[in-house]
Amino acid sequence: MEMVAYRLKPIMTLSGYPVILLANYFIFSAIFKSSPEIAGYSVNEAVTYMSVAWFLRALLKTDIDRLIGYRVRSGDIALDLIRPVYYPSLVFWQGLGRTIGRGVFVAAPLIVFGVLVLPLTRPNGLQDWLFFAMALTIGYMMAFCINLLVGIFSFFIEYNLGLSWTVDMTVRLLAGLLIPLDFFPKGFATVLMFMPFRYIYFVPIQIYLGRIPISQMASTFGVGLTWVAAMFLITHITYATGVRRLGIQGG
Amino acid sequence: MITVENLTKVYRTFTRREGIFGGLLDLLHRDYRETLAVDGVSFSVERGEIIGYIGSNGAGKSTTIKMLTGILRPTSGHVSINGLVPWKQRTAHVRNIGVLFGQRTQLFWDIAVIESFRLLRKMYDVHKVEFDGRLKEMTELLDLGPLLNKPTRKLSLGQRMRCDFAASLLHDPPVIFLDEPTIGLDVSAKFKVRDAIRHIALERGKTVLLTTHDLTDVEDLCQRIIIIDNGRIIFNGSIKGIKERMGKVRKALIDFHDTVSASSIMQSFDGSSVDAVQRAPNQVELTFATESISPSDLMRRILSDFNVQDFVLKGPELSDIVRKIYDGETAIASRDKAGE
Ligand SMILES: Nc1ncnc2c1ncn2[C@@H]1O[C@H](COP(=O)(O)OP(=O)(O)OP(=O)(O)O)[C@@H](O)[C@H]1O
Ligand SMILES: [Mg+2]
Repeated sequence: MEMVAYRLKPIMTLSGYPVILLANYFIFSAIFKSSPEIAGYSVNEAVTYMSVAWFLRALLKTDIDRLIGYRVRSGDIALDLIRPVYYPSLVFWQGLGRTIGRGVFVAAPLIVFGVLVLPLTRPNGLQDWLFFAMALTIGYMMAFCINLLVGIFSFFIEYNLGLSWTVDMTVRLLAGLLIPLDFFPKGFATVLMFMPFRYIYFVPIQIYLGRIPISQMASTFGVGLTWVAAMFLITHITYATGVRRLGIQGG
Repeated sequence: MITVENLTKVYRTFTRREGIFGGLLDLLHRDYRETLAVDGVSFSVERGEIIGYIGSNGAGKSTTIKMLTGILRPTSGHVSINGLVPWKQRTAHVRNIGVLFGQRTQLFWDIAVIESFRLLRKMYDVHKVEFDGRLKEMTELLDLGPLLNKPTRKLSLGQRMRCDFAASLLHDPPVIFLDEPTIGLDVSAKFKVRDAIRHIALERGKTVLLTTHDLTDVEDLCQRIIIIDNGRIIFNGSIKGIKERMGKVRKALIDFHDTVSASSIMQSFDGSSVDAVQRAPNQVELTFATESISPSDLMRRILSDFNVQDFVLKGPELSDIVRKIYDGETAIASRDKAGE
């Protein structure tokens, strides 16, 4: 809705992403000059990985953490809490609205650009697309929970912009937006496999690239869903604790 | 309908130290300051009443409203509204209340007002037919017709306030909290909002608690006022009652056909209970205590002794009384206790 309201804003937002896609393309082409394969990726696969990662980023960047922080600082959170709706679910719909807006105005043009300009690979068949869509849903929930949690932290610390930035940067690293997780040294990569962050970027893209065998699909989704459930529980508890001690500003 | 007992709110604010070193110290140990914003407030409101909740800046009005709407937990005390405890049963409670914070808008900033209304309808699951009927009523009452298709950010303050007020009533709540509903409104917008408040209270039987700094709102709308100062209630009663108690001094402004001096009037009243001030060569303002002379006796004597062209009997003005109460709070508070 906001996207439609300010017609210029998506254009401004949009212009940064193609630059990143191109930059990644050049960087990875250079890296792959010395060897045709790194960590099991061909150069095209690596470029595809990075491009899909940024397509997802374009969808996932809802900034709901900043939205919540802003509403707490301004006291407008009062207007959300007088609604007969569980606040996290209100935020979920707001986030989804933003994602749809970004999908249409940011991600779609970006994908067209990427497909036209870069040597991107595609999943093999319908089944892989479906698995990818499922992984995406889990990733979306995970990203939502993390954002929501950072937002809710503003109930306790009021000023959450610093936290928001730190978490964003950490997630970029640990979830595989910066580089594919299997490019990291073995030890670190293994640790990351036991963390929930990889479900946001790394896992969906692995499925997109057909790098997860069918036999492992069930367990991957099982663990992912468990993580999401755990994150929902954690956010709920944090919210319930925070809302009790929230001092509504202004008036 | 609304029962409030010993409601108290203490805000804890952390005092931040300055500089980097101070910031590090803050991590280890934070000092906090306590503000007693609402201090043992008790009152009750019946169905269909319009209550004026007034007090000077920082008296604790908004804090009280925040607790009554359930978004702020009190430090102690008890509140029951429609049989619910606001902050404990918040989601159920908020269905029963309409809230307007005059300083903020509950409408979505970027979309047309009517779209905001439709989203609110979804949130409260109001039936379509009911919603349309209420929207029509509100549109007529508050003259919203030309505003409904504009985005909120393009509305003037007064237009926005009218839309916001309508928004708070769309789910037909029995209890309505209005925190400064007339702030920044021009005379005509103010009258529209007041008419709407009166309409929903008198004809729809809604209970209204409103705060305002414009005492003419209160005089126009409320049978009863509650005055809060430094977090404590210092008066709770009818406007008529407070005027009778505090409004013993009244004023009369008199225009004469020819020049009349203030002193000549003072003389005709023996200079005792009536005080006269010259406003213009042929205009005098009299201040008198109703205990020693009734307004009718005063006017009868003036009309027989002088050649009067016009006169206005003023007050007692609520604003004068309230100002007196704000200034000399303890006097009336103690007198109140003695009277009980
Ligand atoms: N979030 C907060 N944190 C700390 N102190 C607060 C907070 N909100 C209000 N206060 C303090 O509580 C007291 C009461 O504030 P409140 O907003 O209830 O006043 P008010 O009667 O609504 O005043 P006004 O007429 O100016 O709106 C003030 O002293 C204020 O400084
Ligand atoms: Mg206030």
